[in-house]
Amino acid sequence: MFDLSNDSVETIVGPSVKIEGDFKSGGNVIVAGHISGKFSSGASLRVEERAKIIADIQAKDAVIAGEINGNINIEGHLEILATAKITGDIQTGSLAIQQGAIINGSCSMTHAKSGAKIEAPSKEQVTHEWLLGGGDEKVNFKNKETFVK
Amino acid sequence: MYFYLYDAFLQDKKYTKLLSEIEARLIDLSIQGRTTKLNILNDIKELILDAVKHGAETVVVLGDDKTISKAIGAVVNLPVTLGIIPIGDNNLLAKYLGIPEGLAACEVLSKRVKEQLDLGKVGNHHFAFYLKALSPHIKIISANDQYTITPMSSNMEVYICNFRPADVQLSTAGQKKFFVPHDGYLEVVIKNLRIPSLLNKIFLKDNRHQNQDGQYTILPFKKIKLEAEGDHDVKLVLDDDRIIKPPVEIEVLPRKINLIVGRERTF
Repeated sequence: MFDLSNDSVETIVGPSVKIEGDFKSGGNVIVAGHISGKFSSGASLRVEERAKIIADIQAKDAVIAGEINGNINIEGHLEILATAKITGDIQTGSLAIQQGAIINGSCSMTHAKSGAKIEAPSKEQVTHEWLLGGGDEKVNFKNKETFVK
Repeated sequence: MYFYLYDAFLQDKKYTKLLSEIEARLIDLSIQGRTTKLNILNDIKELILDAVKHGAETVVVLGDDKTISKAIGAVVNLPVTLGIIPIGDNNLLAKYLGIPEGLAACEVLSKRVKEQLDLGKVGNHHFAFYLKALSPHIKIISANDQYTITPMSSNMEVYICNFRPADVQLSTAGQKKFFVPHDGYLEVVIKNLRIPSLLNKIFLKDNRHQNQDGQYTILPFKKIKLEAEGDHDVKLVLDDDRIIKPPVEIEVLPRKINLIVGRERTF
């Protein structure tokens, strides 16, 4: 479930634990429990499969396998795994989505260098038939993952 | 100057030979000093204060984890270094500090490798090891009232830790990462005691609890508040010794005590 071999994990919110309010962390965070309110991490966030977050989220990078109701703002890379259920708008630097993930909301991406924005389809259940516009996107259907960079 | 404080349980005859050997070894190493035995009539704090007034710079306690915890609470704010000679059955704290039991501890004492360690403060009390809530019906509130943490099941244990309690079994990586007693932080630890059913284990291949780190919530902090949830009667135990009741404010006192440690210490 958890991998603590990465030295920089600072906080673990385990299963059957609820955090309510404005939660801020300067380090990496793993969430397997419930969070409601606001959440921000100055480093990486991992949302485990059984986690439920009802909050706007801000982090440097994130891997999401659980349920999120709220807007997500990721500075770097966002990876959405097959078990994820997201209801809210996503803003991220780069994005990878596995087949089976459910996303209801709009997604906007800003390239760090050019500042150009790519608008992805909104309110859509993500499958390997995900449609992408032109530009810098790369689609890898063999691995059933969609990468946008 | 050294001051040696013997716990009351060492008056048992089974320790007589070991204590004689320790005393002889301390003389060999030229670190002998005044000795006093604790009993139900004297107070550890008064004894240590008196020894410091008479010039003691190093206070060495002979006993187990409870003895050490009491001594640590007594030396806070005093200009002394605390040494330990672990004797008895319950010596986990000494193990973390890298101090071997019995006679071998004398060698560690003579080398005088010192570390400044954090302490936890709850009201007027201090704890070196951990605080355990005897009920999970507790609310943990951040110092600035920005968020609360609540266990959602009654099958959970809540600890506030400086060192890792024996009941908290993390992976090696997890143990190295948390519970560092000189990092200026304490940790809130919430342990999920739910055990997967046999049916889940066999048929649903529920292996969530095979990874021991997955049972825990761990959150480092400098200051927090603990409150009982609703009308629940919650007791908090400091270092397996003193019992207090919430609401309480808990804070870390960074590098508050000087301790003699061994090479085998875990931090």
